[in-house]
Amino acid sequence: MSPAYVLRLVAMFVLVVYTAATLNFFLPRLIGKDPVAERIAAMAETGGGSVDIESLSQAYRARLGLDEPLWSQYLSYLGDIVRFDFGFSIANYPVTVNELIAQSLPWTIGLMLTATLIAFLIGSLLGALIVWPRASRIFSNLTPMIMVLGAVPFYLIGLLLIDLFAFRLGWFPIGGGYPIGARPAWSLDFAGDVLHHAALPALSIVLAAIGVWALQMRGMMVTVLGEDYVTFAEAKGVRPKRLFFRYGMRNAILPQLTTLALTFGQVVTGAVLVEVVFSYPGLGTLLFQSIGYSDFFVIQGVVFILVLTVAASMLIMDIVMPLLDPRLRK
Amino acid sequence: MRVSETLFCAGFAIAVAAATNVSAQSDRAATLIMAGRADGPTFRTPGIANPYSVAAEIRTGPLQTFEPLFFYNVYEDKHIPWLATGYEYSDDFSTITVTLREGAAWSDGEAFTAEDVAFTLNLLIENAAGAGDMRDAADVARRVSSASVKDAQTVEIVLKDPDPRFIFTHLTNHMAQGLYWLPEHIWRDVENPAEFRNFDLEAGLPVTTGAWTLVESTSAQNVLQLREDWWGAATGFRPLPEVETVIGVPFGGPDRAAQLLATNAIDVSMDFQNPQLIAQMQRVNPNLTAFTQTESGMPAGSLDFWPTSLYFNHAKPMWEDVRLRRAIAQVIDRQQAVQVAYRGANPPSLTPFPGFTPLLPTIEIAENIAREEGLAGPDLESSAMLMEEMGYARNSDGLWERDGATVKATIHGVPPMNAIGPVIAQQLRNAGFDIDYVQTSDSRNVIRQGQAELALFGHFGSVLDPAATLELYHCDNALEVGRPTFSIARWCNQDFDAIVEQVYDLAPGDPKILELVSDAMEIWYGDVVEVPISQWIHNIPMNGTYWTNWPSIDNPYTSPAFWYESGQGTLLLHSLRAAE
Repeated sequence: MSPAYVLRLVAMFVLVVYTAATLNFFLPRLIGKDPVAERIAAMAETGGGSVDIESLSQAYRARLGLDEPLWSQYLSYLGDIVRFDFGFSIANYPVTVNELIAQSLPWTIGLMLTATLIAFLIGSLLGALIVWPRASRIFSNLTPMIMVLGAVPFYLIGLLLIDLFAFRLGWFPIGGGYPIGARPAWSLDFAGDVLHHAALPALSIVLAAIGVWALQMRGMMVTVLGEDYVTFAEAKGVRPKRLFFRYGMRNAILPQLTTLALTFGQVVTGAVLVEVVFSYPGLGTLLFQSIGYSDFFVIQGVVFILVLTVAASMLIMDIVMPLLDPRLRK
Repeated sequence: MRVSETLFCAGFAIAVAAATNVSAQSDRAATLIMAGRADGPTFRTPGIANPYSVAAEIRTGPLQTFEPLFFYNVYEDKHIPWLATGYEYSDDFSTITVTLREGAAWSDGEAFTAEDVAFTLNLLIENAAGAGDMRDAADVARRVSSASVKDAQTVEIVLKDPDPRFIFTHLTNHMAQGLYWLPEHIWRDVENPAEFRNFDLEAGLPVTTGAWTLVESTSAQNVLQLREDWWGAATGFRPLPEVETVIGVPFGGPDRAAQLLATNAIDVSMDFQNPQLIAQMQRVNPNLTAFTQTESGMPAGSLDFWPTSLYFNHAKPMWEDVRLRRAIAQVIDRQQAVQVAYRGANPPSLTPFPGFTPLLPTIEIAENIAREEGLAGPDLESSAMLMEEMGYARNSDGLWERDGATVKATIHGVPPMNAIGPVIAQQLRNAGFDIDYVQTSDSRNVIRQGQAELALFGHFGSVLDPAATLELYHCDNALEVGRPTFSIARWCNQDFDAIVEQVYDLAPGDPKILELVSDAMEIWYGDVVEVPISQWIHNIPMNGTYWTNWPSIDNPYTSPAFWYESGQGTLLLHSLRAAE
């Protein structure tokens, strides 16, 4: 892998991020709403008429820089995102966007990333075992169930899990990140609470996603099994376990890794419905609500992180893949 | 580590967590848990205890640590002096002298004095003249000229214009109205009072006078803890409450709240539009109660000051002809609409006034005028005659049509209107109007900006006397399309304005007011400004598992709507008794 190749990848990364950030700036503004006035008006409705909507809106538009010309707002935005300073939330002033993201991100990473990784590992393994001739027939019989699960959305599985395990059996909480009354702390107790609350949301994601990974892996494994080098290795007497993992899975999993990188970027958007169903305080809910409020700054912040995550994942994959697959080395 | 071992450890962790979860609830019997207003499953503005911040969420949690000068309980028509003991107006209603209660104190031990009241009012006035970014600042500055200290227990407030209602609208906390008092010795050094969060446990903030203090504020919950040294108990004003800990969690929607109530995870929540859901929850958890019941035994709630109407947007040319507005008004069957939508739990209404006892004489006058105008409805025959008079005829779809065009409009509503909106729309379609109902995430904005042809919405306004509701229809509030206003109808009538201004010159309770109300409502109904639909009811399920003495129709010491921004939820907290 030459330095020029790496530099080319980095340049592409910067271009992708810049283009996405620019679209991210203009697209919400195309809706033509005044998010400040909307938010102040919504607040005023609950205030019994004591809020002067217009004067307050004017004050906050000025405070948030929304009364500046668009080009000036754009330049400020570019400078801000380089420093990861996304400013104040319009809908939740004076809370900053960074605070909102900091509140939400750990929950999403903890839940979605973990659940996605678990689903990826189990699903990939399952998919490979389904077509492996020496594996138990149990695995191949799982195919119909996996296909059904893959077709069912996260949130439907989530609702069923809540009804059965939370409401009827009472084994798990109905929602939230931790119990009502518990105080967040770096302790085993609190960690246990969090795990307990994460169990059902994670299970719904794993059950829904496992099928997709398994079916994809199954397809790729079928292709790999037909390759000459696998036949040769088997003829040479390579042990079955080594054959499965080093010859089979290692080659079949390469496209899965690319998909995994893309999935990490979609972790946030995929989390929205799960987080809403389970009242989970994550980034997906934050983005969903911010779109509803036309909270430009939060949308900009969350989407920028999303773009950065996906682009960085792709960059890492592009660098790592040649190391894993010698055929890609130049 | 092998897979089986990993699974065992994970399972063990979950079991430990479950056991731990039990221990976290061990002081539940002394804890009140309320599922309050939040726009999602979490609070977005934790750690903000500044009552004049635009961060709206604090008003439904930490605000209960603040106390007002006076409370007002509309259900008993009772004024409750709290931090103040009385007031006196000057003869011309341009100055108010308020007497504060001796012994009232802040949570840091400093005395609550006239200095704090004067400081708060002057801070808001100053802010309105400068940055203008504090909530309520513009409104206070419009009304108050200055506030000064006469002595430690006496504050004098000079109004810009005579206003016999200021003491009620601003200094007597009720429903969503009333001001909050800031400790002068803390806030005088604050550089940016709009952005000041007022939450720093190490510094002892927030400093408030309430019986509870805010000890935790996260995205998941706000926690208030009882102060044994609360001034009210120390002076004998009121006994120390039984509720030791108050936890506010996000409502998260009726589905989640229903589950939490059914499993006793919470004690009270925000209201449910569908009383049938409360009835179902009561079958699962018989400890759940409601404020009252309908004649058919359906749970029913407490009256709110937000009666709802079908609004015509008078800024739209399509509504220029009063005959068309009258024809539509005469189609509406309120009884049917509330029966279908609310199982009868929300009473139908012919007027824009909430049905509180002090307003009953006003309502009686208005209802009589409505009947005389033929607007008590439904009267499909009269409606049809009007349409034919205007040159409409029914087309093959049964819709009124003239010159190839039907009467086509969309009713925009907000989520609380989703039960009744389709019913109203269907009534109108059945009567030949090409009208549908929508509720989108943009509807609130569309209504406020004057872009909706029709709107289903409520209006706050009067509680004690008719002036506030009448003022909603003053031409000053009929802003042009594109400017947000509380006057959704955007209707303007100079004769009506003249009457409203006369009402405002009279003190509440003046008998001349009712004569003026009659004159005003003659104009209002004559012009078919809007179509009143129903009173608004807060159907709130209250859980008697851990707490009793919830407010009810037989014991209406306050509204169970604890989230009102007046902070009147405090009355609820003071009155609850631990269940045996």
